[in-house]
Amino acid sequence: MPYGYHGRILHVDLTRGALHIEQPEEKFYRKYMGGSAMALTYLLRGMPAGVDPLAPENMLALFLSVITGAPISGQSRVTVAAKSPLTGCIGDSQAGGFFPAELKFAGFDGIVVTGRAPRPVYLWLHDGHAELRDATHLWGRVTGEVQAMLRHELGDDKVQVLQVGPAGEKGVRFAALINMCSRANGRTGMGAVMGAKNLKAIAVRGTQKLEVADPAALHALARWGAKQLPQSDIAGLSKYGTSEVIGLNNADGGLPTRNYASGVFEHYEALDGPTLYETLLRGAAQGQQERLGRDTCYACAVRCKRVVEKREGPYPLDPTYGGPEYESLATLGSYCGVHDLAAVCKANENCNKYGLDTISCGATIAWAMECFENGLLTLEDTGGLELRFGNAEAVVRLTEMIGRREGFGDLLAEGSARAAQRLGRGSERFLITSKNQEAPAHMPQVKRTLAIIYAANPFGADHQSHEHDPAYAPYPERMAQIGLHDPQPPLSLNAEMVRYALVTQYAYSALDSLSVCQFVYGPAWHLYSMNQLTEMVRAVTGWDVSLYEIMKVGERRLNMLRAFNAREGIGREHDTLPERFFTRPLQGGPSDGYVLDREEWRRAMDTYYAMAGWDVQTGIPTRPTLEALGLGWVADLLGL
Amino acid sequence: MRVSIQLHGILRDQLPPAAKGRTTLELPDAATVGDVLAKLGIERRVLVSVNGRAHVSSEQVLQEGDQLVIYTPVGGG
Ligand code: SF4
Repeated sequence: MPYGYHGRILHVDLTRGALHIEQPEEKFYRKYMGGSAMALTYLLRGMPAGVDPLAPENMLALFLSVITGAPISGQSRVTVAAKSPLTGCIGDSQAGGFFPAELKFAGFDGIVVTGRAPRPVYLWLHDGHAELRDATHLWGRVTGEVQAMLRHELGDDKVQVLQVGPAGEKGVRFAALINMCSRANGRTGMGAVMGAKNLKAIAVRGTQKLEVADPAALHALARWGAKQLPQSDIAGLSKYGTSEVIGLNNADGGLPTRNYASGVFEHYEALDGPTLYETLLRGAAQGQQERLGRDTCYACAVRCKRVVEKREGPYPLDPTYGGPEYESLATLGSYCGVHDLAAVCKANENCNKYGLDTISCGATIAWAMECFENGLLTLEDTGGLELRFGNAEAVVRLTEMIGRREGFGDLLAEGSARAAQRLGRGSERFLITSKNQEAPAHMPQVKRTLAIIYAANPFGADHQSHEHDPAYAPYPERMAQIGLHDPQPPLSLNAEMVRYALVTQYAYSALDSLSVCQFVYGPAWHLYSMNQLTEMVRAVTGWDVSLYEIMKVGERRLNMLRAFNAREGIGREHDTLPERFFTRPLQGGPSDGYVLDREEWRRAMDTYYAMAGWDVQTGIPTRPTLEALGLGWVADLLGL
Repeated sequence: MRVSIQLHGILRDQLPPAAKGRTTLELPDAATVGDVLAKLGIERRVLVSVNGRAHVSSEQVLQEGDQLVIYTPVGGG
């Protein structure tokens, strides 16, 4: 019996209604460890190139890791991967909550889903058993209803539910998977893939005890973390949630405002973490928000999740749907010029209710607002919605309309890049997308290595795929663990900063393979360092594992993601940035006048591919690079 | 000389909640950013901007009327 995992992966063929369990060898677990590193072994082998992402031939793989469910902070996360209906590239997204650990306790390390069910079904997993059940009665319902109905029907309030909302059913291209009604595998439209398979939900319940190899060592690490937390650099994140980043990014001139026109928002304070904490967190009126307004993921001492509640006013808020993260506050808020905090929380609630990625949703609305402001969209197009920057009511309305693909929401449900293509009228010039995915709320004009990662990341612009620039200098001891010793002045995009981007990208890719929380483990301000992550994996699995080995898993995953795209004919020419990052200087605040230099960026990209061991012209991994990672089989698949 | 201070995130907890992270400090001439951090009792790793110029060092000497923004380097979210 292995420690930390079960050695059991469930395969679900929805077309035939057939289930079987695969039991891979230990070396498979050690080589890939979990997350999309594992998922990609199935997607690359099991799917030909050119599949329609919404067709039954697309595969959807959900993976935990070898440490998911261990009693320590920041380990309960699940990765979902499939070909993305938003980008046409590999799709990849992580979420936390209690679902991931519960899936492990139910006896499974991962689930690989193929085909399409003839009618809506859900998957019920409990204590090693798996069955498909009818979900006709759940179809069309919002996440809160479905979770309540499944818990009632299965007779257990502890059942955890991962599901698609109405948005996923209707093929909204940025539909999310939602668990606990408040945690999202948000990015890249994985909800649309699951919805197209007629798979409404995965319900799990487990009581299998997880064996860890060295409980005493694990316990010591967990205790150290809990004790360290108040002095640690995530103390603010713990108390104020990621929403504290509103104030931090605004101070840096890096809070995207009015579709990335500026990096400062004059009303940022209305959206900031401390404001949320003092006003809308559940229990705030009675000073009880510490107890009632903060939530957590399985076994996590950090408790960074928000729960908002409001009974009166135009935007009542239901605590069932949690509360907003930084990204949601920024994209549905400042990105759209909106500063009504209750409205932004309501828009976030709608996204969780219908199953939408808040980032793509907010950014797509911001794109439409800029089109409207410039006369490219009219009241006739929008069905009477005054889509001006700052119109909070319009943002709230549109989240519902997109979720239901209703009226003008139907166009926006395609994501901004496809909507611009349909609309024409020169609306492409307002897009803030890479590989058709809307950029998150961290600005490459301010943190320059984001200009590399937003362009090169295999699943589109992403803010959680490497360490941001300001963290290099303040954390010399931790950076040294991964071989980084030479911080550069702000705004540099030289070879050392490219190396910083790539090495921290391997580190973050390793975190995603181990499916751990990137607030708890990492190379900088995180609660635990990369060396402590290694200690944790050793304690859980009993393997004599090294940080070198873990970093290599990260590099392996990144190369597999890149290889998936290569097979789809997607390479360097798709590694682009929104045109305006090079042509429109930011306005106001500390980042006034900041703009990217195209030539400097192009040189940095050349250096990045060369450092990664990829062909500089095509951006595709070379055979020697893949073979050096033990991925000769991937080189064979690519015909290299 | 007097300088004005704006604290963000968890640093706001150095001051009473009603201050919303804002205060002014009276400092001797030639005081530095580092002196401000010491006076406020901030021991955490922080980033400081002065008059809108981001990431200044703690040795930076301050002038009358300077506006300091002090925040932490948390990167994600
Ligand atoms: S730090 Fe926050 S998001 Fe991460 S595991 Fe803990 S509660 Fe969940």
